[in-house]
Amino acid sequence: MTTFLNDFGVVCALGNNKSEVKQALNHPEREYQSLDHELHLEGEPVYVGKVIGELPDMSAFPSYQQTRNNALALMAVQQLEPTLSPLLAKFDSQRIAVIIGTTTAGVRTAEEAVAHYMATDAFPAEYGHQCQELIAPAQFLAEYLGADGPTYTISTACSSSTKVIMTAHMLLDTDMADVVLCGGVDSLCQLTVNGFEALDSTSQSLCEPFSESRDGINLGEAAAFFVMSKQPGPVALLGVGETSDAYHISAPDPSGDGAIRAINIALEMANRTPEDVDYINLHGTGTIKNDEMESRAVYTLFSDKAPCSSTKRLTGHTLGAAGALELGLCWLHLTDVDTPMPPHKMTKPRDESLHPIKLVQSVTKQNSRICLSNSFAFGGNNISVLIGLADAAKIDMTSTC
Amino acid sequence: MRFELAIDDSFFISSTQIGKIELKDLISKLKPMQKRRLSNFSKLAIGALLNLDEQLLEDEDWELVFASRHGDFHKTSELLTSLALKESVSPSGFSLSVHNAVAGMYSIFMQKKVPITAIAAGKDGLFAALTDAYIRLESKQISKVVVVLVDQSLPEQFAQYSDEQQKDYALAMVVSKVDERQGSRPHNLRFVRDQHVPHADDTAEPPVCEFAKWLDANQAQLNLSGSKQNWAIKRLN
Repeated sequence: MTTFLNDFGVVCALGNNKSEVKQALNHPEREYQSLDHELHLEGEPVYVGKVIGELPDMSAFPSYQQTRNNALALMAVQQLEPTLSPLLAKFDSQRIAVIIGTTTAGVRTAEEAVAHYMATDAFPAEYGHQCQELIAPAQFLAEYLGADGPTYTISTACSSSTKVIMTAHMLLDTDMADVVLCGGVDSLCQLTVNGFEALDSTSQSLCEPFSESRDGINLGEAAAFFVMSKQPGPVALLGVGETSDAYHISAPDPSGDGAIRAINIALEMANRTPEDVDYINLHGTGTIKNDEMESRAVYTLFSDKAPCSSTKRLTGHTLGAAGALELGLCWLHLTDVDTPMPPHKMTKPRDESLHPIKLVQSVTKQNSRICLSNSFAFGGNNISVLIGLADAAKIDMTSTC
Repeated sequence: MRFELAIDDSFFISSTQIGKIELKDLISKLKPMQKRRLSNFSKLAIGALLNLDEQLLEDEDWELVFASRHGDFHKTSELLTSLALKESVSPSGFSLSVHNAVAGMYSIFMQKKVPITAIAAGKDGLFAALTDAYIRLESKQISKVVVVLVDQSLPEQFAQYSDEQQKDYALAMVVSKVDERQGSRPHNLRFVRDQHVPHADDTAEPPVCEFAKWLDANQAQLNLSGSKQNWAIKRLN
């Protein structure tokens, strides 16, 4: 059964809504990340993809829900209300599911609370441990919307909010839900900034995916949500491939086998070939190993034919929100001829030792019909998602009948 | 909301057995290198998985659904303490605190290249994990899903936020579609969610533990409550 991505809501370093993000995609010459002076343990300034903008007033919610993570989520979900409201009115609340990808939940609040505990032997009165449970954003959004269907979080590191797209599809496909709010939210915190540094994965400056001097990631924050349903919408989900490397906990299988299998499964499910793909949003973290593996995998399947880019320089690596954010950039490009293919920003020379995939380094507009988005996460957790304009799905259905 | 599932095999360990069963015995199949640095949380999760019937998992036509409310929160809590003291973060501690780390380690140790998902759903984790297993079996037409549910008591300083009985446990299950033609299975079950909202009960046993004990008992029906959902579970055979 075809399921649709009816609408998209977003807040990230590029902007606080769809139109600001679209505008930013037209201006990759600007920098959207900023220097942070608070998160690094030794006070070193680090580049982060931080949301700049006024967050919604959270004072009406219980104190444990008043986290930056939930505020970001609310900001993105409020944009979806024109699409969501009629669906919420039409369907039974137990048929509305909320499936959210996150890795941080409200752990920034917990960091402050634990520091308070260490200093005073007591947690702050307003602190509640539930704020950092991974279910927190899903529960918050379900309560906010009055949704009472399946409500859970998927947390598979950097593939979390790509995985939710498949779960949403399966819930609709098996008639467990009529509408699914799905996507991801992660917020900047000390744990990820210092944790990835401990793993030697963070860049000393702004990240440079696929360049010869790339040295790791910049952390970012974002909220990116879709309304998915069986009601026809502008964009259809065409295929998803999920695989595991079973290779290494924090490094990808260099052969690209797990990535290639994921892309192939997505193409098979969609009954499509590599030639049908108009644009690929790469995982493109800017680590030595991801970019080696991913360029090999993409070149093996697409040669140098499919335009592709990593948007991590623009947004930072938003971890649990990255998958939905990057699929959302594809959604914006598919649904608006004035929104270019998300441009690949790299200010240093390209790494010529990598397979020569076709990086889109200028602002390029084209009428794309089908886009692919890759996420290759910690633990060897791979997923690739193919989406297309709704009429691409129709052709697909007739060809398989 | 309702669905049916067959449970072909299961393995449960809880606080009452830990101590009688050494955690290290559960993971005796692992190589010494692999056992090193495993936290108790990892030992519980991987140990439960390793005690499933290996024959059922020989082919790779299955997926793994890992579910935990708090994850390896003892590790996360140590990291939060390090951050508060402005001490550097342990790279292996940070790795282990990632929610899907233990599922990833299992796939690496056992060389299972199966798709993996990792879920959290507060007190409703059992229902979320089984829902996820059901939709994978039906929508992706795979033959089995392996579900592992694992949690530990909260670290001492967080105990004041407890809203259910604090236990260490792991339940691993091999789950498939109910198919009467396949003859008798250990458990063919129907799960039906009712419309009522559960009463908050801060002393209730975690639903996973109640469910695991019921699986091995003789009662026909089990009624379970999470934080948002009530379910009735009935035996079909």
